[in-house]
Amino acid sequence: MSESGVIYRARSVVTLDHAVPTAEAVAVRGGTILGVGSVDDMRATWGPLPVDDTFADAVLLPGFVEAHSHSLEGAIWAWEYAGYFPRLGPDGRTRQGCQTFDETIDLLRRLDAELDDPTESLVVWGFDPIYFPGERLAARHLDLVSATRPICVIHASLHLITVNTALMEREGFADGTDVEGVPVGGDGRPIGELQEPPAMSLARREMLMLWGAMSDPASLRRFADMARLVGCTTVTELGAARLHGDDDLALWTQAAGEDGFPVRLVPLLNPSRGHHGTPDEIARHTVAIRQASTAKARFGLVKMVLDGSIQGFTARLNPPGYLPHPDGTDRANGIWLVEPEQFSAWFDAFHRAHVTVHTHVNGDQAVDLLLDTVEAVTASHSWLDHRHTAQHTQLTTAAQYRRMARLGMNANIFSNHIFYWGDQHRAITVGPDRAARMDACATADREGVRYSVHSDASVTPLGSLHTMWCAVNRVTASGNVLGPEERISVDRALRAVTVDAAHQLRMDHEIGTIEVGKLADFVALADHPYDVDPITLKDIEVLGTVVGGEITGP
Amino acid sequence: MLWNGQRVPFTLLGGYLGAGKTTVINHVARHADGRRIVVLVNDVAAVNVDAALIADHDGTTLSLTNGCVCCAISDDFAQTLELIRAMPEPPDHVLMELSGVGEPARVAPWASTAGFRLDGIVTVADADQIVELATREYVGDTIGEQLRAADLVLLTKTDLAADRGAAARSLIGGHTSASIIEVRDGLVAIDFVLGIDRRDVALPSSSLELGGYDTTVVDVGSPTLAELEQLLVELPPDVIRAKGLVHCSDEEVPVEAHVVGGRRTVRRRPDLDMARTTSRLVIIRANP
Ligand SMILES: [Zn+2]
Repeated sequence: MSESGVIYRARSVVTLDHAVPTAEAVAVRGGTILGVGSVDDMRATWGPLPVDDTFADAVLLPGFVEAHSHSLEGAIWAWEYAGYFPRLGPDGRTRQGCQTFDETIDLLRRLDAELDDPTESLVVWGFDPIYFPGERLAARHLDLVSATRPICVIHASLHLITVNTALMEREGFADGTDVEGVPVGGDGRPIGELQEPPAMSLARREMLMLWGAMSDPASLRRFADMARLVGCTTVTELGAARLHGDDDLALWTQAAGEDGFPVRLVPLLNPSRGHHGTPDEIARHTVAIRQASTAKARFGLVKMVLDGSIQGFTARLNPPGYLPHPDGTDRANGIWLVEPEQFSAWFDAFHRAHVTVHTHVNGDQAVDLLLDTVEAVTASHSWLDHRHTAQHTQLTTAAQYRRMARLGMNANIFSNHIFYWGDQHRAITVGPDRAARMDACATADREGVRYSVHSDASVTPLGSLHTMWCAVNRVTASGNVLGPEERISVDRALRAVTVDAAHQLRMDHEIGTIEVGKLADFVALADHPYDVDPITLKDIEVLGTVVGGEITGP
Repeated sequence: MLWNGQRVPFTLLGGYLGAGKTTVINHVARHADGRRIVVLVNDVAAVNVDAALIADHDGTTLSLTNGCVCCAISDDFAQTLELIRAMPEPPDHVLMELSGVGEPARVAPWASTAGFRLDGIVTVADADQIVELATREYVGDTIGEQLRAADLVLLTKTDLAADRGAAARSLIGGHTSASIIEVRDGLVAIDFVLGIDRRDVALPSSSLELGGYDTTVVDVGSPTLAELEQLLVELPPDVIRAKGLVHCSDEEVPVEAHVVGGRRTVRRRPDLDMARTTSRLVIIRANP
């Protein structure tokens, strides 16, 4: 792309702008959209711009916007994937996955041979025991790979690791430990499984490596490459990163400032991540760091977390709460991550400073607390266009969506859950009735709440087409349809992952539709999403993206 | 191996906002009495000690001249604990403040990870507030969990409660059989919170001034391990803490015993020598 501009011709340009829904081509200049229409019309207006036919056979849409993801998606690719399903890596190569223990061991042997330093740890991730019901991965399997090199297999849930004997010996617990979450075998010795973060912390060096990767610029680059491959042109880091000092900000601006960086990054500030000071001081800091924003790194929004997760039984639920344990005993309600008073003090300060707040609320009781809080802060300070957003909103009821609409709030619905955990929600966490109305996009529409849908990568894989597919079809991993009444149209889902995602990031004047004057961020698809059978939506090939008018590439 | 296998006693301090956790922490920081205590807090700015006692202050860490270090809890427990493990010498004790909605039972597994052993869970309750809190929307059940998990309950501000704390005591008693210690003016005998690790029986004057308890040394002879466990279970209810090494007749190494309120821990110590240790228990009883 040159300063003089270029016209991208496509099979069809789908703009999502109601005034000009489709066009033959889009003209760009200086990173923004100059015109939308026919090649002839735009040349008549703007002169003899060159025509780029890279996407002549493709359908061009506004680039996808992932409004809830985490850069861990890039950090974790510092190591190889050892999951069951084929998975695309940031290098564009698809890993075939390991469908048997033998394949897992073979992969580890190959990786072991590639490491020169004999003390260097071998780490892989993505292993999912659910697909190996007959046998449990243990140290004795990993010991076949190496008796001397520490080996650590991170499970897909990120709540479990399996390590070999060499690692247990290095940390001095091969003979046993009183740490909770370390199962032992018949001989009384640990079998190598470390359950939940406290036990996982026994693999000290490997866990430190994982934390270190989070603040490695290479992880942001891999995150961006993953985004490019699935058609995202803007991705968020929802509050897991520290955005306190200049160094914290520079990590983002420098990575995103590299030539040809393929995506816009939007990291949100989380006040409980090492931000000490009064609520007003933190709010002023959030406003101040907007000045450090660049074209591809945007600061100035806030994320807070109220409760845990439904599959972890830590989300806060209204009665009747979780289904009982299999033995019939009651399950306790989940946990709060912050006191209501502290939450409201922070929220009030952000609201008065005109900072949009995104709040993690999985359970319906957490949603009630959020709604009470927003009602209070909006009553004490008028800011009509606040766009405060409820994140996840998995168990949100119609009544809560009605309140959300009246309060001017947005939602970001965790549609991927339907596929990945829908069967478990029906059987184990909340039962078929509440599972049928989980992640209720159609209800949000009926009650007038603007919303996006998201992956929460790396909790589930990044990929807006897959997330759309979940919201449109509501098919679970076992192939059942969960709550067919909550399915939405392809057009609605497409708006959710473009313009409505941009709206809750306060960027809908810049991105989210293909309109004159907006940033030239596009995704090129091999098929028109409106024309394919909705059940194949996730299989549409992403041919490339354009960010700031430039075709991205490896 | 980390600290040659030594495990540092680790105390969790729970309780809702305003219960008085910070007062307890300030008090412990001021009266470390040469013990190297690491205090993990939500907000270092809230730790309030004499300026003369501050050796170094960098916003997230506060080092005191008496050996106490206060650190802000970072993003993640794992990372916070690694900061302590990086110390060349193990501290004498770690005291961690939970958030107002922190559920001690869920955090407790961290207190037994590499280099640490869970010493006890202390929950602070405000006599004037706890009854209302326990029925409050959103957080009522969390308050119940905090009390249920407690080994000791510190009851504060009884002077402000119209009934001198009677309703609070009955509510707490409904959730836990842990000992309830009344704390006046925010002052609590540090030995209640931290125990008597690494010190002899002679108590420093700062603790004596507070009054309200006494310490006895008990010669328990050489019971079997099973007899020792039974003996600990049968301690009178006013025993707040007990600690000691016992030479059990059926064990070749000393056995370490800990009592913190309702929690009893017995652990073999193969790293210690029978010949170099004496068999005895130090017991702290409430004496109001
Ligand atoms: Zn998230």
